[in-house]
Amino acid sequence: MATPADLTELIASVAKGDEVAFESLYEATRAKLFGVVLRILRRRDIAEDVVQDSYVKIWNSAGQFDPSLGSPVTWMVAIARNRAIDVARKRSEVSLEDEPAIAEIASDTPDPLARSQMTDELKRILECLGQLDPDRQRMVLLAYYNGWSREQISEKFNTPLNTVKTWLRRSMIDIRQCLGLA
Amino acid sequence: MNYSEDHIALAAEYALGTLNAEERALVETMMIVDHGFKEVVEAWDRKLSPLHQMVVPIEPPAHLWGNISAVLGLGKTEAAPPVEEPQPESPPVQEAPVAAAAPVSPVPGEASPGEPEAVVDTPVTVTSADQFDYTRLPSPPENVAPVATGSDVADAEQAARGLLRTLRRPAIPARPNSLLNWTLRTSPTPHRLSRSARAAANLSSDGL
Repeated sequence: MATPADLTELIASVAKGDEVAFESLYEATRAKLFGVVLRILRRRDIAEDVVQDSYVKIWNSAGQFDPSLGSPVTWMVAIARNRAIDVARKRSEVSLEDEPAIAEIASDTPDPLARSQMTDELKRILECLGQLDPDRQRMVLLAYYNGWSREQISEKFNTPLNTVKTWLRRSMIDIRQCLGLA
Repeated sequence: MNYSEDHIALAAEYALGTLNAEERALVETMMIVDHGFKEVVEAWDRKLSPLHQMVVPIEPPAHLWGNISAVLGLGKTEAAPPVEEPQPESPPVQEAPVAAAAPVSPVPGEASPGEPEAVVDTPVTVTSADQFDYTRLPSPPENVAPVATGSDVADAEQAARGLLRTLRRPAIPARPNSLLNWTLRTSPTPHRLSRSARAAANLSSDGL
């Protein structure tokens, strides 16, 4: 079982070019990264490409991981998710939903965690999200989990784009205040 | 570092993922030229990223590792840096034992009495208790103090459940283009396989 400490050690070894450590790191995290990316892109072939690129980046930038700033998986997920969003936005002229979908796994809502499994970081962000109006909560969560753009949110919520912009902006500022971010 | 609210909102929306391609490119350029701004963006990444813990892991195809190692040219160099201590062998992700089922399941979305049922009952309960027992997920390391107990935990749990219920069961009746319809466009049968649940269980010690 790979604990955050295990993963941190693996990443440190990867930074020194340890291929065995890299494979272990891959084995311990591949399903999480693929799950996150597939949910956003909803196409296995594209998701595979994105996860592949993400691990290439992880290999190349392992030395930049700073365990004092966050957990290893958090770092890896952010890399993969940013990549997935970039790809999704560049493909935005083609609606992903019109494509042959693997929708049944990827368009679901996330599973709940037992509270004992929630990290303090997760609780904190959920608490702050919980202070938003329900529509805005849903907007932010769907943006995070499904990678929706403002345009897609506007469409799905039957809400004018400018309103969505205002809501998102306000929501993020409120979250920032709640989290006590500088 | 003082950034305007515009900058902060831009950084936040970059991390959230709602910007369009042009705006994302702009932010990425700004991150290159302004290290402080990069830190703002990365701080948002870290703040939002714990949400990934709610995403069920899905195994990628087996050939993906081959592709990655081919791209990186792994396995070609004779001498990898010697590793002092061999990595502890961790069991493969997919082989993690699944705990025997216990009939305890923190099933989300139990509607309070009197709350109107959602128009259509979505296949929300994606893992049934007999497939996946949350209570048997691996415990945190022994030497780690238990997470806070008391009202903050209860609050977080309530918040999480509320959020999930909001996601899963829109209170408003479905309109032609509504979120509810979209959300329902899933398989009519519950399709969370125990395999992915196992993967979830296996990774959970990292707070997944």
